Amino acid sequence: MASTAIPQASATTAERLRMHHAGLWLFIASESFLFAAFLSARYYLAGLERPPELSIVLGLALTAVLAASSVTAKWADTALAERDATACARWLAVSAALDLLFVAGVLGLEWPAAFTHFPIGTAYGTAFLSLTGLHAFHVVSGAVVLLLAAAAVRRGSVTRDRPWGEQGAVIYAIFVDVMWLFIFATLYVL
Amino acid sequence: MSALIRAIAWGVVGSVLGAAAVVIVRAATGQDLLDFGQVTLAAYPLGLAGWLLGIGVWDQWAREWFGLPLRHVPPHGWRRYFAFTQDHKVIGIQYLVTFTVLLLLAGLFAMLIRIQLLRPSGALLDMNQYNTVMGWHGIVMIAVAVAMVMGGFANFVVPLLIGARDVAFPRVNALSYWLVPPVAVLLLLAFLAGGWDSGWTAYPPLATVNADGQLLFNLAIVTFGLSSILGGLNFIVTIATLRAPGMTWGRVPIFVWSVLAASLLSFTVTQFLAAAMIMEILDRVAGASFFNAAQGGAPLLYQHVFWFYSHPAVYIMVLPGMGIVLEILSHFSRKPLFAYRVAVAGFLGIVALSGIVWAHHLFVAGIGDEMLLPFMITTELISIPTGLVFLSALGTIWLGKLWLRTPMLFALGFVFNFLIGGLTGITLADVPTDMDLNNTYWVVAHFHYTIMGGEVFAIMAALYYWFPKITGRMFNETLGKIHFWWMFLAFNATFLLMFWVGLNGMNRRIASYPPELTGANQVVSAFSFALGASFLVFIVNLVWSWARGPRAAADPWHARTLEWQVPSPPPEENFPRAPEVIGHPYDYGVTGAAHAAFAAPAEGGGTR
Repeated sequence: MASTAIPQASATTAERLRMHHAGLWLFIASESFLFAAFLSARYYLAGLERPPELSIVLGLALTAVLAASSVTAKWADTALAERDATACARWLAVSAALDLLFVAGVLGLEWPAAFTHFPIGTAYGTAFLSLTGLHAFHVVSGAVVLLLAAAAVRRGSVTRDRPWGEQGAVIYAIFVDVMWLFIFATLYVL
Repeated sequence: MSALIRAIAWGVVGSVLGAAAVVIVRAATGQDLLDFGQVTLAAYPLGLAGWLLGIGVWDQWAREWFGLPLRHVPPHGWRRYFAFTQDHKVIGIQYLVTFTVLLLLAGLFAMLIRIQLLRPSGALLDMNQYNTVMGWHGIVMIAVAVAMVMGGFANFVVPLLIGARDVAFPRVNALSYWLVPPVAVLLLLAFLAGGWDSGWTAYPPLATVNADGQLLFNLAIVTFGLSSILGGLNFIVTIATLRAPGMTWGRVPIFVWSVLAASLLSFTVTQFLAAAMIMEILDRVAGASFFNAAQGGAPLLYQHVFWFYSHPAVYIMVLPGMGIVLEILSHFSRKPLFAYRVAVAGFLGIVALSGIVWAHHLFVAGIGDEMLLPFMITTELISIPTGLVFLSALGTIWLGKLWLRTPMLFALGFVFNFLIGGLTGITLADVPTDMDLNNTYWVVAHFHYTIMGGEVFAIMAALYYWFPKITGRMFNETLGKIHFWWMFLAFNATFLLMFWVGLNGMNRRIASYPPELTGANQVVSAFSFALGASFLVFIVNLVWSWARGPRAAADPWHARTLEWQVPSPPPEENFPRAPEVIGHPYDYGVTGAAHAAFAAPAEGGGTR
């Protein structure tokens, strides 16, 4: 019985990393339910109708910005695996910047354009406001954790051997980007 | 205490900053300075952040993000109960004490309701006060039923039951607890802001146009939901990854299974409650129209989203209650838990079905006829997994050598009451009978049989059962038995009669009723006061025993599960010697059976 040890008190770094990943994926599953509630609400309120005025070009441009931020976040992951802290921190910061650019686009371009055609007080306006607003809030939180991770990587407290701070931020940021695809499809395409 | 004072100070500073920002922006754009909705929506999140950072998130968590060394709470002394302490046992006690106080407070509100109903037109409160009191009673009791077991007992006991040092994420655990005080503050402040006359269900359109207190209610529920989600997530990872060597899924104690099942629900569907609240906030503050039918919204949408959480929430409350009861029935019948695997299947079956039954709450709300039959069938299907749990309970008692101590009495009380609650539920799942019974006191009696007769009796069973382990002291058995019989008889007298009142057409949620029901209501009220008084025995027993009771042995119930194999109360590190699980936890009377062996730095691995 020499092998017995008290779980948690004796957890190794690898075990802790696995637990953190499991916790984050559960959190992502949980957040998906929140988005699912608002996505269902949009169909409940407005059926399959979609106002023709929406500019799909603007929507695609915003999607491209967000997709780029996912790619740069993944590059940060690769850089850390190659022990290149400088590159990792840089790509994390670039991802955060792209995320914030996206939010600026939503709030500054998408909203004014959309709400002239269907005000917030209409069914589609309500769906549009809640879905893009909820998502933008998540993107901002993703940018914040990316920036915190970038600082930690630069400082050297997050490394290839202790990668949680960076991996967690990247997984969360990419989740938020993926969620946009559902929202984009729901608001612009379907 | 200094952390508490700092938390309050930072919370106030955060709120003021948020409020000031809104006022400045509004001044700059030339609007009226004060808008309750906008000010609250800016002040509350910042205030909440300040409170959490002040209580310990900054010292024990956020400093790490900025490359600063962490500052921890000393692990001993009473101060740790007022701090951001990461020990699951401390957090369990924080939850238990907080929610016992809330249970008693919300019970006093029930007494107010019953005083009001002594007269057909109301004896005490005006209509708006009555609605707020009823809403407060409802929502706080629901919070108690959710968090007392999942926050309190599960926190204290689950890591011990599975042989772990702590939960998977001790800091998240502490965060879950410290999200609770702001909820209580908001619900109390809501009284000052005009109350919320929409009751605990907060149905729109009323809930989007009524007094400002409603907004505080909405924010409180979002906050409590976050606490519940984080708690559920924590238990899933804990139970999945931190079981002692040898504890296979077939050897996991049944209470742990029930907590896992309830966590699967709470970390997912709670988001729908948050969504419902956020929708109402957007309608109220941002001019959205989720629920404003005049502008294309749909009030029924709220009921769908709300009940998609709130029906499964019943199982978040009752599943761990079932786990406690099965646990106690086995230990006090001195028999192996009957049909262990079937009971686990029952739990998981309830989890699976609970997500597709919500619309039975909407049978009379105007949903399409085509939705009636499917939801009636799914709702009635849920009696099958529930029946499996009953099978396990009754099979365990059957021919057992029952040891009728206080915890066992409450566990048996659960079985009796929950049976009545379950059977009367069928009348509400059936569309034809529900058309008649919906929104009457029949419903009130039914769900009090499930939540109070079920869950609260399970809470009492757990309190008495784990009291020696948690406090290190024994309670007074005679007072415990008096409490049980008093509470059991008064409970049944109160709520059996309520079925009759409901059958005779008394509407629920309404401050007045037809005069011909006066006599019956006065009898119900009298019994309910007796029920309330039974808690005085409980308070006296627990407070006195915690201070002065005789020292408890490590294992006063001769139970085999791991929490009883360590001293009472357990040492800070939980297990002085590492456990290894070698058999099933309930093999009472099985020759040569043992649940666990312990590694031997000290005295050579005894088995039990």
